[in-house]
Amino acid sequence: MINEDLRLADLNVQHANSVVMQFLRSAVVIPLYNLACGYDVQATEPAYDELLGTLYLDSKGNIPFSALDRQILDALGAQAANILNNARLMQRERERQRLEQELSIARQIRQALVPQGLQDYPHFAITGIHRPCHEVGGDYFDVFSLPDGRTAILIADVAGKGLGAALLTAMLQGSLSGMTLGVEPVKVFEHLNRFLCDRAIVGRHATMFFGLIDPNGMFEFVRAGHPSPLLFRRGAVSELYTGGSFLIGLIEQASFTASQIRLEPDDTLLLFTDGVIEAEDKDRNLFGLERLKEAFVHHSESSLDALQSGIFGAVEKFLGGAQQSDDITLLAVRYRKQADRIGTLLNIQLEATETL
Amino acid sequence: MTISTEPMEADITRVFLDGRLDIEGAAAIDLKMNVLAGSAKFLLIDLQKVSFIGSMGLRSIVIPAQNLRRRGEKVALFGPVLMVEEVLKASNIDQVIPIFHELDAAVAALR
Repeated sequence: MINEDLRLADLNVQHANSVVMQFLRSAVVIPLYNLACGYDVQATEPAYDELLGTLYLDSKGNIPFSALDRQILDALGAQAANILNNARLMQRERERQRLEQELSIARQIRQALVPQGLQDYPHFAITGIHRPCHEVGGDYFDVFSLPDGRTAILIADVAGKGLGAALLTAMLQGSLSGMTLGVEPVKVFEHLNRFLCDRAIVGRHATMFFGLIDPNGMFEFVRAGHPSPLLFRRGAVSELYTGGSFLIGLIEQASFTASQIRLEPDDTLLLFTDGVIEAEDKDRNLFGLERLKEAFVHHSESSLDALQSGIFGAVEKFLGGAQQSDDITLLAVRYRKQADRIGTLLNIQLEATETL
Repeated sequence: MTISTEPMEADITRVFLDGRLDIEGAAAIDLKMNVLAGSAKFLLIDLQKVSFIGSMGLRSIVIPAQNLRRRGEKVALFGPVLMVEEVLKASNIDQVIPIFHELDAAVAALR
């Protein structure tokens, strides 16, 4: 409503309680629009698409507001709208900066939880890379030693992306680190499954692959709906397993089993999350398992770092500039001969003796 | 992702899903799927036109199905394309919700 002289206004307005009781003669209401939202260059009128508030003025004086009064109020209204809009933009910017800072902290914590600078172990070499598609992601890998001499390797993918998924990965990592205390992996998987199913409101589940490498080459593993790692052995690539397995946190009655294989010297395992094989180009074609196998074979004789870079490069080339739609994680493990390690130790001892 | 339903014989509700069951697709159907899980007796989820299923998409199917099963009702999946069926089987979903490629067989299993 914009009205200057109430005596000329609609009867409903003239007889309104607030007008009669306060003996009002003039009233002006000027809507304050956000003109900073932009003008349509083709349009003759500005795009009044956001109401920020109103400027209201009334008077009991006998003389109604003049045209000049109205011009002054219009100018004041435009000024007020600008100030309101700037204040609101400032507030939004502060909020954005605060969220960015919190995300940055979450990313730092997440990165700190992922093993940094993976070392070579006496009986195997390992390298890993994780590239989230948002600030933080739901993929996760870990490598840690157990008191019995075996080394645990884990790769997991929490459903969804972003902060929600990242929170769950931190929880998974804490739970799984309990295996250093000697808890059986299958029991940990079952416990985690029950824990998440009991808290279905969390709305997340995960795929996981957990392996234990013994220095003698025995490789025990438990899987939970995770894509099979690829095994490169004597010039050929195969999948470590076929068939399904339950995810963690989706089906209450899920059960998990441990399997094992014996690794041979120079066997290379490639662990990955579905973000690799489901990477999509601009036409929504999937990178797929076959392309991953081809890239694996192509770089299989290279060092693990080169292998990892080669496969990552193949995925990026396939994407062809398309935006990454899921977190991508790769972990490559190459088993060594135990004898090599003994031989290396003997050589070191011999060299030391000769020096003396 | 779109969702629509059609009543069939013997209290069976056929749910047609159409599109990509990724994060966005799952968000688009979750509410309707949960409402159906709370009201339907037998649910036949038609996946013939689902071209992709991601991790969150699995949840959109499994959680309502489990709610129905808790009430003693039945759910079946019908006609997934190869990619979708592979994902369902890789997650052992087929062990808790049967998958059919023949409509008659699916209906018979739900009766």
